[in-house]
Amino acid sequence: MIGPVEVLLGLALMLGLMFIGLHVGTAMFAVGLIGATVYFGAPAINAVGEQLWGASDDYLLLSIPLYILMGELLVRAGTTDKMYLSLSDWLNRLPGGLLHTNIGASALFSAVSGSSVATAATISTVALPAFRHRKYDQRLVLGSIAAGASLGNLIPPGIAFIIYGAMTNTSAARLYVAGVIPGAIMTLLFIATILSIALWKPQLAGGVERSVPLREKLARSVHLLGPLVVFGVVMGSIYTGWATVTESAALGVIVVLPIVALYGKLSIALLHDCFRATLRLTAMTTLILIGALYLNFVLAMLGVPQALAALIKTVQVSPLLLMWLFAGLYFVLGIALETMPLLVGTVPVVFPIVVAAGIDPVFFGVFIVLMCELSLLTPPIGMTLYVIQGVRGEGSIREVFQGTYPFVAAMILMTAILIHFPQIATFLPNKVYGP
Amino acid sequence: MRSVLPSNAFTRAFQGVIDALAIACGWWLIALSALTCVEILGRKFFGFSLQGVDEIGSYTFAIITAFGFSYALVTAGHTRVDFLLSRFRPEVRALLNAAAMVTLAAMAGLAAYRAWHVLADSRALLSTAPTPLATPLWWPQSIWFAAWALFALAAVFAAAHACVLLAAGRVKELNKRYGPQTLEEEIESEAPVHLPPPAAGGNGAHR
Repeated sequence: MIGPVEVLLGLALMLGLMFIGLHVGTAMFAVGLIGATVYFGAPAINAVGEQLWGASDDYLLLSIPLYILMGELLVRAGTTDKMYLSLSDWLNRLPGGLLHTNIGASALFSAVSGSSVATAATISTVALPAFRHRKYDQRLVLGSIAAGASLGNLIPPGIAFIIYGAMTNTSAARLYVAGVIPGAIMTLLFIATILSIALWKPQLAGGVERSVPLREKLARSVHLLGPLVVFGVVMGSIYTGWATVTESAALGVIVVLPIVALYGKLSIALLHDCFRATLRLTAMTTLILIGALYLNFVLAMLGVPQALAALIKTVQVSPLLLMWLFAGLYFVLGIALETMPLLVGTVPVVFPIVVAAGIDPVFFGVFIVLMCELSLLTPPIGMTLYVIQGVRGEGSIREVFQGTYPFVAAMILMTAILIHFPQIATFLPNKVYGP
Repeated sequence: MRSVLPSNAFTRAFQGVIDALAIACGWWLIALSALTCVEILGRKFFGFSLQGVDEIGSYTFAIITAFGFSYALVTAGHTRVDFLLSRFRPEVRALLNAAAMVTLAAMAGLAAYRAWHVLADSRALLSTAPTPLATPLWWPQSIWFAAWALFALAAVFAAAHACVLLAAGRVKELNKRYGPQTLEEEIESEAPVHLPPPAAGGNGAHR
């Protein structure tokens, strides 16, 4: 049994190793190994092999490469620009015009793409030229793309839920169903943010866009079908219980192939590019994950969860206050860390506290994924912000930063809503699967 | 895409193998997805099950990720936090980049060594999976071990190369090869997007 001081030391060591630039996976694995060796002696090392096999011989985790592959296929099929245009037909009459399309297109696209980097890069490539000759405030254009791209993990299917599920033994299907309502509210909040800016300071949000005849609108909407069909098949098969999460991802891959063919892009070269990208991103994710799972295992052997649970029982802090403390912690950590290190680096320590405080693990999963999205959006470290600036290739990154502020505010409001009304996350899974 | 290893006939062949394995893993994922669809449809409409698609799927994850580690390594993909790293002087950065490669190699080496023991135990005990297929575990574990061994080999090779560069004082080359991946590399590996050349005086595209 070890105390909270040692746990904090370990956490500090892990963050220190990450910040001096060791690979994130190595940093977590090393801290686990040091903990095991200090408390159990050298033989603890012998368990490493079994742990590695046990951690990676997991059918749920197979959904990670499958979702990434599905997303890569859609990205490389070049469906984005047509999808963007047809979505703009429907959304651009709102005050704020084309800005809403940035949110809508990114939300739709990131839902079916496993990578927020890929989403931000593709949407920026399509959106930025469309704004070039229109009178919108650049910062709002950039901020709305960043906000949209950050929705990806919250709107299922996303990889963050799978990783959280694997680390905490929480049902991934439940988490997916739980993400639906908060994801929709978050999207609406972003749209409301643009609406209020457009009404408050119309000069920032462009003029009135041209209306498109209904017939033309409907004809072009065919390009929305690709992502919608994929989303429908994946989520529908999970929701109805036809398929497990991993099976639904396999179904998604097979459904995407004919869509790629319809866009005339299906070729061996394209497939091979997708395979390389998929394997690379999967390996990057998994190296961190197995480091984290090993650390998780060592912490459990050391009795850390019990120690933290005992601690939280003695301080008698209310769940509500605790959630706000977590929100503060994640906001600060999220300034310096990317999604994956933030998620897997904190769950082993935070989750036992959550359970001891009687907080619903499914609700907490939605909360932590929301915190990851917030970390993507908060300057100065937010991968998507740099991706957007990179595609833009002119001006200063500061304009991107400034553009995100209204959307960061909307996300903080969302955090408050989620903390005070946890039902928005728990209602749907409880209805579908029972409490 | 950037390759971390020095360019010569041996490393080109080595990387060719890693690339071919990555592509083979991709085809295997497609095949397994097709099998899974047969399984779902069969179960739902025809009352039959292929038995064991999920079991093969879990071996698949263990194996393709282990092969993927090598691919991500030689293309400098593995995630690092460069929040502080990018603020150090080039000499310090070179030292830390070399340290990152050495620790990664140590971890990969230890993992491969322990993976060998897992495989040896399964063979000695004739362990089988507690499933309808009752797969002898050493079958999938042999491929899994081979993938870890390849990763360890690549990592040790890269670490040795980084140390040689450090000892020779070739700071610039070391940072270029073994630094965290740049933004362009990350974008171009995940989406068919090519960045415009950075505008003169513009900042921010590189962190």
